[in-house]
Amino acid sequence: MFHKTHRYMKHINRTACLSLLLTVLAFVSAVVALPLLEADMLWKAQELNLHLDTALFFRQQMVVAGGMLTWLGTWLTEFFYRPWLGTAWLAACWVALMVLTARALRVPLRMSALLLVPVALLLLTVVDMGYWLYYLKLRGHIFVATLGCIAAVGAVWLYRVVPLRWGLRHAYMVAATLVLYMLCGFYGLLATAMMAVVSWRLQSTPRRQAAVATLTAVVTVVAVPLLLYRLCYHETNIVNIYWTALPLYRIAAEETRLYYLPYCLLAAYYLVMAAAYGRLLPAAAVPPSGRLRRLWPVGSQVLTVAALGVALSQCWYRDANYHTELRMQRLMEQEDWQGLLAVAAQPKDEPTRAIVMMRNLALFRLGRQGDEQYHYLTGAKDSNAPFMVHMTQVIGRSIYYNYGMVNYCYRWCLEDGVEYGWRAEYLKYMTRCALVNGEWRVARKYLRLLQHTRYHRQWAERQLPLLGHSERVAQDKGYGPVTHMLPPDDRLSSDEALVERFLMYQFVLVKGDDPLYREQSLLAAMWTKDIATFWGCFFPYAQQHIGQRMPIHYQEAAYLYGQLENKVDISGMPFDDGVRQTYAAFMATARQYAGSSEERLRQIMYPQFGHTFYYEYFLIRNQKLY
Amino acid sequence: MKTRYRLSTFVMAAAALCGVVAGCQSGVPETYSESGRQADLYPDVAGVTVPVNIAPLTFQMDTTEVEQMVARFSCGDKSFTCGGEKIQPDADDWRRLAQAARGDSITVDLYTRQEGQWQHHEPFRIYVSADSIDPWLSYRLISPSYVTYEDLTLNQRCLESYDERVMVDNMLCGTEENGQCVNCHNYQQQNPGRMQFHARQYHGGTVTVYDGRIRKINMANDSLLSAGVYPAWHPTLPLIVYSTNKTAQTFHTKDLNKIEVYDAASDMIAYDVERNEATNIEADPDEMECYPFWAPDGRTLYYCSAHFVVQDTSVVRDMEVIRRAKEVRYLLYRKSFDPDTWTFGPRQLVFEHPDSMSATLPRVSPDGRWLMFTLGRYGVFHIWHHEADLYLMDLATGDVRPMTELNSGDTESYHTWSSNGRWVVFSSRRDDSGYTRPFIAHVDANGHATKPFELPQRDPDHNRQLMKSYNIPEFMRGPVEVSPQQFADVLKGEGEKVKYVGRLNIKH
Repeated sequence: MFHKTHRYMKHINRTACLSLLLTVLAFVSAVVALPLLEADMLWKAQELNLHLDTALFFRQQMVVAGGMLTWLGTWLTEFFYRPWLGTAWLAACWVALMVLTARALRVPLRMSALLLVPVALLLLTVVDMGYWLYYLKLRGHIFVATLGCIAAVGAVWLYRVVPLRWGLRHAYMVAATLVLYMLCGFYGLLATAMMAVVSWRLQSTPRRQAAVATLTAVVTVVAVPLLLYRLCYHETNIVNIYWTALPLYRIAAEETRLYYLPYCLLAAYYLVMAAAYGRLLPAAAVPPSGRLRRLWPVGSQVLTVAALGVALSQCWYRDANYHTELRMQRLMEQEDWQGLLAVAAQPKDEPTRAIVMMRNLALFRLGRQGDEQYHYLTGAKDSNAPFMVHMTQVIGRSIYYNYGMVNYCYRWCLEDGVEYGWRAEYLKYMTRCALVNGEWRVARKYLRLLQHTRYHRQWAERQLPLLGHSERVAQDKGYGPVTHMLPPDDRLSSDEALVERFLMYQFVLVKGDDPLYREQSLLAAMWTKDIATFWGCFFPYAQQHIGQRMPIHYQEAAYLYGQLENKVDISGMPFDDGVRQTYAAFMATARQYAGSSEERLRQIMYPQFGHTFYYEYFLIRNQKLY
Repeated sequence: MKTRYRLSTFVMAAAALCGVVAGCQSGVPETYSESGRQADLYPDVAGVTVPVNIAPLTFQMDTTEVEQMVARFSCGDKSFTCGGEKIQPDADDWRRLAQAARGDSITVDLYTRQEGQWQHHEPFRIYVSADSIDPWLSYRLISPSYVTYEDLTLNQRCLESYDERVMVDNMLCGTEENGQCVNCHNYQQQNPGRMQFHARQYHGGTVTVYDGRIRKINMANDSLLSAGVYPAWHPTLPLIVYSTNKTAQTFHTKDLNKIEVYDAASDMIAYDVERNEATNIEADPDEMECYPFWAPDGRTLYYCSAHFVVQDTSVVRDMEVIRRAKEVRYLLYRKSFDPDTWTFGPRQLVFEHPDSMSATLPRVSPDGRWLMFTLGRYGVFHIWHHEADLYLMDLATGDVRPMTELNSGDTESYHTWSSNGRWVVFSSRRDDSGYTRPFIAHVDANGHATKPFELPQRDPDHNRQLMKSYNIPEFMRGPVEVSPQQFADVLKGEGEKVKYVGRLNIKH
């Protein structure tokens, strides 16, 4: 008997080691995969985050239940400025959560893969975001659920060890609910529910005491949020008091319920684990009979890890355009226009307008748009999201800023700052706008705020010498090009949240003398495909560039419009031979396939003419702007 | 200047407490050099005049980062010393000294330490007026956004301390797709027991508090241009005059004013608070009336109005107002009012700027002598006009002058007199040009104002960190006792529909 038991214990230890090894391997794989696959998303998450090391910022977070989580969450999110560092913090939190879960709920090592379940769910809340990245209002989202679970599980552990006598455990439950709800919102209530469940499994607790604990839990879970709503919190609608510190996947009236699933599963996991408290330990030192039953402990761990891996890979948000946009935004922030073009050249699928606009901006900054604009795939593919994604929230600010429409960039920073909370990216763009506009005092305000951040402080300090010096701003490598694009005249208008359309019409409606501004006006005129508008912009541009080479796309547009309308005499214009020949070939091919559908024509003509304005003019139409 | 979290909030709070205690015990340094000039402070408190009952004025260095500051506040043989990274006087020390300096001044001797070296700056004075100020101020805290809004609060702040309370919070009523805007809090003679504010959009309506009765009124009525907007409580009667406005926004592409808030049309109505009845008192489509305000005797109603005749019927009126935005000039008018019959007389022109600038927000002093208003190049919403300044008209002589004592190079706009008429609070964007802050100044019987001071904060850096504007500062004699949750409960209910009448029934 002794030998049999000893063998069984050895078997258990071997199983525990294998299980632990498997858990560690799976954990490390997930942690490594995150920054490898999502470095740009993580970087963007911290750009869209803000944590200030001020007392006011702390107080502002604490006006809602769960404010402590958002305060800590925003602090930790800052570290994604270096995605690997942020991931290390996240991994450390997950390790802490796993250890706490194992200790609080007595999960044996041989079943350690079970500890991966909450980690996988928490990872899922990060990697399934997609375009919610721009729209989620919960600050510090990436860390909030993890920290909330740590607090909840830690509270349950303490509950277990608090003595039952004198009603101490019940008192602890009430106090913990109150404190944890204030600090962690929903997770405080989850902790109380877990305490109630676990009380039925504690050997030291008589069933009558467990019933009292359950009743106490129900009353406190219901009453504490209500009480604090009346007495303390004035910023939470009563319909939301039980869900504070959870993200809200809702835009306008559209609610995408599937995104709540990881949170539901997380809560269910912890309640089930609380119910299973003590049942996961070896019940007796007698080995189960049968080979299959002996293999089951390891097999179940392998299956758990495999199932989690499959589920995670299936739910991991993957969209080429989304990731391309993120990559391009990061390169734009670094003013790496060449790198941005290299990324723009990669997609094989139809791009979003955001990608097209960032690419055109890069070409313009490099002075190559007139020659290369149509050398890239164009399109207007909808963003892959279960709700309407507007360019204003994704790249609207940076596009407006880089095209000199700083008042509109500033506007959208403010609008979105109010709607989605202040973010480092908004403060940086508002600073840039203020510097370009010469609004030194408000620029200083934003720089002071950014000096209270961990990683944007240095950026802020680099801008400080520009305050009060318009000439330095105009000569600055980053600001200089923007100053060329500033509107020559003021106009009262509204963009109706249609960035591209508004910008293009602004350039054709408001004429300027700056050569760069004029060139952009010409490009905008080509965008409108309005012939009269084109000539109105073409001649001022041509006069400004007499004796210089005319970029190929401008020649193509002039030659095409001259041919189409015959209102402007183009006979004296020095077109390149290639322009005439390509046009002739294009028209001949078009005649050859006359009667074909536009879709068919596009397929036929793209390989030979896709890089020309002729193709753009005739075959790219009705693109959806947003 | 910077407070950094190192370990936890508790550690920080403890450290801050120790800092304050240690700071206030700091003595004046024994060795120092003379800077030969006054220090640049934020907020600028040098030479300001404060009421005797104001909360302690706190300040810090404006742009220079210093390791430590020590200030010695003295008046006669009474003094106290305070120090730290910022100057935050103890409330009791301040109160005692302010009482001693009543009608006189407090001298502030300031020392700063930079790179281990102490420097002594030229002393400055804080003048303490014997005139007290209403103990409470209310305002709306709002991000200076354009179209969107999320969290908006109507706050009330005790001027004798730093106690700030939320009075109304729109988040208690709004949801994601059903946002709510709260605005236009207003009181009858600074009485917190008689007040009103509006909620727009979701659960919208006007909430009135009148001697303990809280009601939600639905002012939407076919006979009215809109629900009541800018209110003016009659000084004694249960009567509020509102302008009714079709307000919209448009945006500048280049101008640094950035936003143009305009009225496409506006009228004026009178509302009987007790009977819940309303009637039009001005409804000329070619006139856009706005910002009514009662004279203290309750017999004259001041307001501004712009004459605007549609010229192009091919476009909607809004488009034409936008196109001709810079032509929209408001003049100041008044109407007589008979409190016995509740009838208004014809309008009389009070002020028209010789260079066709636009005058808005007429506010008469409690003694009936002075009319303060805002003057901008054009338009009605001058808080977004950097050129907007405050002007003062002597109603006895008709003389008008810019209030150079109060004006700065940036926006000055919304202003209110205190109940004793010796103080004005006004909105200014002088700090950073983007965010409105309340400034308070003393005005004597001859209409002369002193250098204004910014609403004191416990942490002098508070407003620099705050991403919100203080909107519509209004003095109050005490705090509103209704809680935000109580207001939310009322707002979530149905509003009583206003009854439109040809003329108000006066048999109260």
